[in-house]
Amino acid sequence: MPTDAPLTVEPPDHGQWAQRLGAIGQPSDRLILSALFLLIFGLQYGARLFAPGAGEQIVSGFRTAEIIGFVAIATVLQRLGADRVLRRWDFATIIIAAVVLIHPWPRIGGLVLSGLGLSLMARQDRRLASLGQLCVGLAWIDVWGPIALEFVAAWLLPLETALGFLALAPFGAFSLVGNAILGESGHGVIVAGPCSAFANTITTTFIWLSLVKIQGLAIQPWHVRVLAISLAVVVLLNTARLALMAHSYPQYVFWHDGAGATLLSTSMLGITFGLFCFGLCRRQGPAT
Amino acid sequence: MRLWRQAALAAIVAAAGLGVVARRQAAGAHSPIVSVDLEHLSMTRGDQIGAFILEGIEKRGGWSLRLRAAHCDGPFYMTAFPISEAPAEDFIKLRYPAAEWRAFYVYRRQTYDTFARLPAQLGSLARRAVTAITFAPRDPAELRFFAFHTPVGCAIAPNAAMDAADAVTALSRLQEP
Repeated sequence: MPTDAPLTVEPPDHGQWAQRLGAIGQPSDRLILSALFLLIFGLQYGARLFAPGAGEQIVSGFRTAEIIGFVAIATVLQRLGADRVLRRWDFATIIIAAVVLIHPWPRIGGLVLSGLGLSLMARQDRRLASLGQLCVGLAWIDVWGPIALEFVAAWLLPLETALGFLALAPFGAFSLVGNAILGESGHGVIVAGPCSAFANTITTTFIWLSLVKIQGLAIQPWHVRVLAISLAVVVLLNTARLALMAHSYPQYVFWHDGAGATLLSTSMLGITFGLFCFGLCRRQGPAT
Repeated sequence: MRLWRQAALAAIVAAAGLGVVARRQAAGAHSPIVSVDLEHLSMTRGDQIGAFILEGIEKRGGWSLRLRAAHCDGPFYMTAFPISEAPAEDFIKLRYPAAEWRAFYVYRRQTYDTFARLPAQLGSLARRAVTAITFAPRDPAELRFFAFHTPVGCAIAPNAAMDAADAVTALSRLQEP
């Protein structure tokens, strides 16, 4: 097809390429930290997306909280700009973290995030301290939270069961035996670790921390009040679920194995998100 | 500082490549997850569990094997509990009143009159971490402890109880895919 437009070929922009190569030759703190978090995200959290058949032992879980956490990390990294905040010791820590991350143990990312997080949390720069807090939060969800639950379950579960029993008391004759609720009909439930609200409170706190860090860097008193309300809601919802499961066998099947479990986790996530969005946005602080 | 920056970036890029290769290698060589629930083991009534005969599987504050010893009139119960979870101790006491039942525990070929779960759990956690890091095969005996509840008049020899625990653990190994 004839055309009047001149046929021109854009000459390669050597200046742009030189700039990119220069960025790799003299990488900024933001580039290095972004690459490190991309590595952690890709190897430890995102691996399931690319290797669905690899199995539970090779790749760890991938959930909403972690995605929000990495978005918060990306937001904080964005705020670093071209500032040079890392010291020699930080680079040594990053090199060690990268080497350790080669190991395929699914929990290795949690251990690396713990070490990295603790070293960054001690820094005076709020952006680095925030990155440290987010790292420790991710590690708590992945590694330390489940381990902590193993150790506190013997005391925590009877307490949560007692709350469920109190909620159930007006609806019939039930008895409380440690972490078990027994009904007159012969139906009863033993509350085990996965039924505890403990893991949900950790996840809720981490989502709160991520949203606060996306919004700004400083934690204000009203942030803490919103968190307290959200945690209370999470515990109340879980208590209601325990009571319903103990009420009768059909209720147990619905709330333990059926759609009720999904309904509850979705409600918990929706309500806490709602509380955070309205509560945290109501008095938005400066993004310092 | 420039060298430190370049070294850090190079380490991250190298770790990305090596990490993917390591995960691909490990995907084909990982040891399977072993279930600790007795209900998932293939056992039927009349099977020999160590020196005892299996009469059935019941849920009594945890999955329990109802076993029969030749020298006892009534059955006794052997329950497996994950070392990582606190058993429903008060409920178990209710099911096995002290006036009628005697309890003892077996964990890693040791018998205990009272089982301190937390120290055992700490040790288990450390061993599990070392196993995972060194790619050593997992030991199913590490993951659970057994509670034996026997009628007051029925004494079970510690060795016989340990053999029964070993027999159940061996069944877990056999069921690994």
